[in-house]
Amino acid sequence: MTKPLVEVKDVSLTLNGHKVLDHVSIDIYPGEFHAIIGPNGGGKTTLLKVILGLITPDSGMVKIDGRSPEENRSVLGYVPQFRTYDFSYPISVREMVLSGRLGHIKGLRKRFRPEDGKAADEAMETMDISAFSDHHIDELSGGEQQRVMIARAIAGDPKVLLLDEPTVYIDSPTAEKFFELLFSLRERMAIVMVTHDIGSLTPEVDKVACLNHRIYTHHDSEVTDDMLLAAYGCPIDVIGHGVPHRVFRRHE
Amino acid sequence: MLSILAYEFFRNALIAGIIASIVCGVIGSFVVVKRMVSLAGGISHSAFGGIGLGYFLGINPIAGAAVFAVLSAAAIGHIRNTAHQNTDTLIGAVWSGGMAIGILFVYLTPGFAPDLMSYLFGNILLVPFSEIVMMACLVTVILLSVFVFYNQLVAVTFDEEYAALMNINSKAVMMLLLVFTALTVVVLIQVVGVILVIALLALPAAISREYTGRLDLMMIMSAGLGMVFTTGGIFISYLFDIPSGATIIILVSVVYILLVVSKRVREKRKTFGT
Repeated sequence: MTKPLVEVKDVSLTLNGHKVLDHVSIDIYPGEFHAIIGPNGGGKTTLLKVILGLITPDSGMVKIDGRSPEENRSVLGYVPQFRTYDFSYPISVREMVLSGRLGHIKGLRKRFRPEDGKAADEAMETMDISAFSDHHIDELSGGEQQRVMIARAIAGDPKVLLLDEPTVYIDSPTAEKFFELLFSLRERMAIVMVTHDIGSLTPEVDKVACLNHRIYTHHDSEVTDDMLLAAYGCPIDVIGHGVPHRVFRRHE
Repeated sequence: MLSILAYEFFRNALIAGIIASIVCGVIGSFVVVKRMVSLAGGISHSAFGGIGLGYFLGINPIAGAAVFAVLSAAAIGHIRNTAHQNTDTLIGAVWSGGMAIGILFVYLTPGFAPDLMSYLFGNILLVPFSEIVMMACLVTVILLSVFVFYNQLVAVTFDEEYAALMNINSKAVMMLLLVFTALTVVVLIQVVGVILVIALLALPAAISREYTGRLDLMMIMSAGLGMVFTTGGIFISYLFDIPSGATIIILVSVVYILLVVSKRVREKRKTFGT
């Protein structure tokens, strides 16, 4: 059996007196599409940050491709929630995507090499944003900005792509196209998507985990009613604006 | 009018203004895009504590200002990096705390503090050539460092967390930027004084930002604007015999405010379709 790319074992973390993560374990294998669902404040973003090595857990172990997150960050691509962004910063789309290459560049000056430019151009091509290359990010729509963020993450050639609430600020037709693009990446990297929006779960998702401080994993390879039920079996409502009978295409 | 260029003090003033404008354009752009204008204000006012200490100890007040500015920048940077909390209140404490220390030291110094007003409000017409040399050295060091760290500075000021994921030491780079800001403030104190520094640091960059979406162009443009404002201010203050620092600041503030107002008017017209 192949080794997991991301190995989270028995991780607990208390922040400001609140137990945010309670003995959480999850493994991500190459090529998988994971969805981690759970309520806001359930620890989803924190779990991503623990995987990225931005937050050190109180106990437990995190291994990225066999090494610590700090040593192996270039294996991971990260697409943060983008409502916190200051998109008025004077930076072009291409410059932003190019910044995803910085982790591969040594030295104080961190000068971009021709291969970095090539990787950035390819990433923009993949995410279908090449036309905006010289635009300022502020001029783009929410869906386009989202694709820029993903292009930045995949420019670094990661083996795992971590997305935090990727569908919150895009409308559903845009989301459809967004998922198409995302699925096209699956051959190159495993994908982990964190969301509180159960409507964004699609048949292409391999594994669903439910995180509400504790994690509940389901090792089914297809999305079934059981899993939805399990997801709703979380201690707290998964979503406020629930869509309990969202119709999923069945794999007959 | 150009006959005044024959005077050395006037030429010195113009040179000082140009040197200050260059560093102002580069560091001021980072200050504006990283939204740390009030932080820069805190650093500059804290420098007054050092000026007071300089008087008290009988050393060059600018040296005292440099020490206080760098120390308060480092303190704010350290707390910012470790406590993960809003530094707003801390900036307020450093801001007025520094001023208070300065006032106390000036009070404790026997006799009369001769150039106090020029440290508070600047007097570029009094800058001696020796200080211009010092300013030039300081500015060269800052500009060379920014050149070396440019990509890292951009990454960190745009997105500190992501820069950390790119194996950049975000905290160290932020600290570096704060120290550069402190040193820039020291250079600017000699031009416009402690109290007026923020306007000269932030406004040319803020004006440039309205016209360009590129950081490097923003720096060049605001350096150019800074030169126009300082040179213009120096000439006007000489012609009408009014304080130079205040003249420069009024000039830059008026231009900025006119720009903001005209932009609003244009946007309103657009919305109403007239």
